[in-house]
Amino acid sequence: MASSSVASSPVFLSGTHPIASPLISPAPRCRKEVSRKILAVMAPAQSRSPSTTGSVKHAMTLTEKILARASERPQLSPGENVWVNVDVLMTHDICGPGTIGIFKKEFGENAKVWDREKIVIIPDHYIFTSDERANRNVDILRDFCMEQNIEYFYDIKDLSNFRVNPDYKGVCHIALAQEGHCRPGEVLLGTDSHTCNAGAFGQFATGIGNTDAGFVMGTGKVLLKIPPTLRFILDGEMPNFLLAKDLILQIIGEITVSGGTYRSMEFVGSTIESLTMEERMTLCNMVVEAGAKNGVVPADLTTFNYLEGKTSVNYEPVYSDGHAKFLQEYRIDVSKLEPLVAKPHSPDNRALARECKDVKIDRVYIGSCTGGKTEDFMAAAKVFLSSGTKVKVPTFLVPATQKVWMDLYALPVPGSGGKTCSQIFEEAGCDVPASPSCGACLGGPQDTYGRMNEAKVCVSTTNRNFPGRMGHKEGQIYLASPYTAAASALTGLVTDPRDFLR
Amino acid sequence: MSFSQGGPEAIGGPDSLIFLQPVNGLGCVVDELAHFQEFETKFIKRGKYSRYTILPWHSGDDDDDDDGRGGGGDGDGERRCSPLFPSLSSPPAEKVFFCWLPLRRHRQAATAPPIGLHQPPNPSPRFSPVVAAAATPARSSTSTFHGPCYVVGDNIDTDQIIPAQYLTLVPSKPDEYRKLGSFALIGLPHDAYQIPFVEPGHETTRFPIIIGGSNFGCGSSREHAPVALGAAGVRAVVAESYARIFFRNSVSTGEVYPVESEAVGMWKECSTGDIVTVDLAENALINHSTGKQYTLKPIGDAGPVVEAGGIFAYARQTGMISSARSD
Repeated sequence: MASSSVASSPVFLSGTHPIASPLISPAPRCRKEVSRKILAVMAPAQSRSPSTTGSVKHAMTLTEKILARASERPQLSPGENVWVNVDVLMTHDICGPGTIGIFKKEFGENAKVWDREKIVIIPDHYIFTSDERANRNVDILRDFCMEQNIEYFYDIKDLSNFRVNPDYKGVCHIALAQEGHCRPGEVLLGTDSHTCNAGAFGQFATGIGNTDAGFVMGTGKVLLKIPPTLRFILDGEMPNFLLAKDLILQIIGEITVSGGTYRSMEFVGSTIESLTMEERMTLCNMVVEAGAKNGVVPADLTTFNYLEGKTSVNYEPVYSDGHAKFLQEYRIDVSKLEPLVAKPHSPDNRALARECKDVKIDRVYIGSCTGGKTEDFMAAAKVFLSSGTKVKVPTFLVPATQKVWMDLYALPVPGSGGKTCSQIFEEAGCDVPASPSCGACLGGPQDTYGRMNEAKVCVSTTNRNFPGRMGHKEGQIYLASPYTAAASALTGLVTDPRDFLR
Repeated sequence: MSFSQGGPEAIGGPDSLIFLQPVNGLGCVVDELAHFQEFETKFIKRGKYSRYTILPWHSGDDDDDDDGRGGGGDGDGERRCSPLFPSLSSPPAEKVFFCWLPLRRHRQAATAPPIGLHQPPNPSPRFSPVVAAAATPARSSTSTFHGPCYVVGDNIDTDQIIPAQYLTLVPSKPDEYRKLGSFALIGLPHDAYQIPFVEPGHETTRFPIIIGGSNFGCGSSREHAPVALGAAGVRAVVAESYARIFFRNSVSTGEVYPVESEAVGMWKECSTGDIVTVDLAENALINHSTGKQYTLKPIGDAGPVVEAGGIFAYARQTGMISSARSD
């Protein structure tokens, strides 16, 4: 970052990037009016100066290494509070307007963001709705992006047809990945709890609130406490009826919804190495459901291949040292696991899918950053294909992004003789794939497609099932993998996908 | 008796202290039930005051206890102080009006109280100097909070604190900020939480303190959650533990103090409506209704940030950010 200093006490001055001129003062309201513009920010003085060569460094975990580099410190320990340089800041239509409001209030109406190329603004939450405030919020984003000349703004203007909006992407976390904004070794912050999704790329990614984001918008820095790391070693061949969603439900069920609070969760092992990028994203996406600060998978060839052609920014991955200290290590033999669900009303309310086979359901929802990616739909299609029968309950399909939507109509499903996902879904009697967005994962305005407006039982590939999450307070949500969701749609009961997959 | 601009008139001796928590942040104490009824007609029903608490003031060793007026004395002859004003060792000799102005970030720039219920500019000799002492503790203390508490359990997630359909409200817009307050905790299931946190039709709550279990504020990172609580009038949450993003947001916005209790299970021993005192300086929570006291974990560095009004205000106050003065 151009404006960061190299001194031991980082001082970043407004002079290096344009901020409101000191000559412009706000209209005085009372005698002792003080301008609210920030002209300089000084981090507290560091207690020790950075060591040079030859110093003995203790081993660090992946997360500690990323944060050490981003804070220009040779080494860090868990528990330390440090100022960290941010590589990418993401916001969307729910929190963007609030963040922008804070940025303007604190830095000045005419202030400029710290780096117009490091902010990614992605409308995705309440898009296809007639709610006027929701629509206004997208306009607020647009006005700001035009004023600040933000490089990456995935705009949507015509709500009646998402396809005529060439810039529109959809769900922010998947858009970030698909557009090459996730890079190993970097620090990515977003005004959304599932920002941890990007940890799949071997970077530090976490969710923050509007106020912190407003601060980052102006300064490009954030104050973070270094988290200790929980290490999860997953070995064994992944059974053909299991997906990454089952792995993370297993882990959350093990450590509970607060077992990862203030921790980093690192995933290693032969199983992890065998996972695709989308599966790794599903895994890291839900670490926040365990309370974790961030999740991380070390970057490897799979990562580099995925990034090929998506980004021209240089990146430098980091890896945990051999002797790094982990707070706790968990070993999981994946070959022993079975398909799981999280029963209402908590993501840690783990149960075997086969033990819930008497639970009658009213609907199935396949979508969101957690379970609405191309491979998630491919997995569901595989189950429908294998069964050859029709779904017994309304089955909502909400692709995460435009690209996913196009894949549903373009990519052939293996073993289907050339059929696409969309054809298989149609034959199975599912709903037509909807416009890409966050959709009903979090309820949303009343007219959101797939929203639970009555108390129903739903099997969903989404990430949370707290009371009222999808709309109705008495709704019952079973979180599951796309395999389990598809199987359940075919029977009208919570169903283990092994009933259909050989 | 009249409530007019410039101050009230005092009549007789107090039977009960009625503490009023109005919408705009001004509070006052009304004496005697009869006057309260007049007050209620004039101001409460016109929506100027959103909540009130009636606290019996045991007026002690006189005969007033037996004439059935006002609040309850238990006739034991002992003068006891209202839990709301611990610095008052005895009830004021005269009826008094008392006002306090709690600090609130989004409070409109200081305006005159709309109905002049404050210490009159020309104090009548009837007003005891004790009133001034009463005025200070709740006013100047940002580390002590009194009032009825609202009790919730474990894992109260941010969807229950502020459901997603209200997230179109932008917290940095003052009118939408207030609206968020009216929806605070509206996501709690009806069967488990029968007393609404915010009465229908109101914008603020009568519960300045929330008592919770573990992992309070888990789930979504929406900053709307601590904002809704703060806008509704919550001063402090006392929970066993917090989810990290909610804790961080509470501190960065300065909306509520996220206080932790030492022990586990405090919420099970408290009931919604219990009158409690949270004392951050003493790291204690006192439940006056049950008589139990609990130790709190020190709020530490987070305290001054919340007290300042959030991370930006704190950074200015401490010189981390320098501000230019206008000329």
